[in-house]
Amino acid sequence: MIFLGLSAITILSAVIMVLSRRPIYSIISLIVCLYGLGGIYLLTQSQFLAIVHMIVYAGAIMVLFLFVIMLMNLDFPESLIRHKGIRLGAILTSGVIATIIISRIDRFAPSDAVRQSLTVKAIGKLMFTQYIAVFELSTIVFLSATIGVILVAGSRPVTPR
Amino acid sequence: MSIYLFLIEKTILSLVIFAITLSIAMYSTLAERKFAAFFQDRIGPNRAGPFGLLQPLADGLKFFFKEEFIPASSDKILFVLGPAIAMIMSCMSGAVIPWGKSLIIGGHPVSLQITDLNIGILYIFAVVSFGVYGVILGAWASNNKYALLSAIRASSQMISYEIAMGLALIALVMTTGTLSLSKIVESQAASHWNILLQPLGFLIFLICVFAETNRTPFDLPECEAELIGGYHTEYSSMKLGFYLFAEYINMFVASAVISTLYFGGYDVPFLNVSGNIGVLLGTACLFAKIFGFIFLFMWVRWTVPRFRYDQLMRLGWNGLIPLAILNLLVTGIVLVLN
Repeated sequence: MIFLGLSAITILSAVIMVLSRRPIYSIISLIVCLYGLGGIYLLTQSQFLAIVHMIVYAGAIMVLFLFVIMLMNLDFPESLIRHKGIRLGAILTSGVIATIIISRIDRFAPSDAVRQSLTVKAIGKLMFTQYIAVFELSTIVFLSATIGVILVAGSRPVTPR
Repeated sequence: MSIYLFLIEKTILSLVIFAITLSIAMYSTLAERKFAAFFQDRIGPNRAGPFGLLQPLADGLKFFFKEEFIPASSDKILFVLGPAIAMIMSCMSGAVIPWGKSLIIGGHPVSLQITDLNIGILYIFAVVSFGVYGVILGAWASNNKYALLSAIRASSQMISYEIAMGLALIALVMTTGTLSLSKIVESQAASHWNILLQPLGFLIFLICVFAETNRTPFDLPECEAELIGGYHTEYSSMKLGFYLFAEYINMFVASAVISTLYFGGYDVPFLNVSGNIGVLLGTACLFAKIFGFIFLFMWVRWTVPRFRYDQLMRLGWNGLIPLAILNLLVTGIVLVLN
């Protein structure tokens, strides 16, 4: 029952996000969508995942999106999906992703053992033992992205005071 | 215990906490004006009721009867949504704060915490990070340049200070070894208060809380001298009231969080009373701590002038974040050595 409600909210807000004409409404419905996803995570007993999902995506990244839209004052009178090429590309990519997910859907159901291990401690342990290589690799990716941003942003001299 | 009894108990508890939060926020407005008057050698509001005690009610009534004005060029949905989000998010943190130990009523224990999430700290962190949407959306929807500037200030300020706050909290979690607020309070009752174990972390956290609640010296989003009213320039009536009120609720909840995390929560020092009286005494003690912090907020507001924006950013990125990382490092080393 709760699952159905949450999924309805998630799907509905995702659809609104794509169809909305104004970027700010897209962002708000994306935030609602992320909330819905977080709620679904909660239903699978993974509280940590749910909260981190909400903090990182809904709390931080979406604020940045809003920030950019406000700064640039982006407000397209015409929705982007009216553009033919973009529409085709979106249908193709979402089709491919949907096919992948549907073909593997039976593997996504977590076993009870996995559910038990979704506490903060267990995730931390796994991250620093079994998956240490992947973890370090992703930190390197983030670090290089940060350095890249600083280089791009700082390549022009700051206007003197 | 049957599920209905459980539901009734939790409903009553949340209603009581909601009512207490609102009434404390209401009287904080009066307290703030009284303290301001005291610091500036004035009398302060004293017309409505004895010592001006009915002043908050009069203010609230006035807000309700003011004209509801929505600017023609504003985005109407978001204009209404902004103050609503600000208000809802500021009320939500109270759900995970342990307001006391379990009362024994009719033979079975009644916990004075609405939910004991095992990730309570992260929950508060999440709610705080959503709170900024109220300001941003409301300001953007007003379609006013001052409000927009204020929204940009608010969001960059909150993002910057959230990092230092998170790092200070990580050091705290490392010393206590848990993310659950009730367990953190218990661990403090068993040994020392966290302020003794994490003095630097506490200082960083306190400064960040001032920044997150938009209180002076960090109230640049509503800096009157530069931005008129900041994000609530275009607001009137109870919507303005919600924004102003949300700030006081935030202040109350922030004080509760600080007392819980660093000052032992409902732990009464040097005293060991068992039974229901002890529990109530603990809750009273928590509220005493909270009032102390609310006073601190007001004290700072009427003594310290506002930062300049570049000073604020420099303090956040060059001062607090390196300090917080250092604190984290030292905590880690000490923990390993022990």
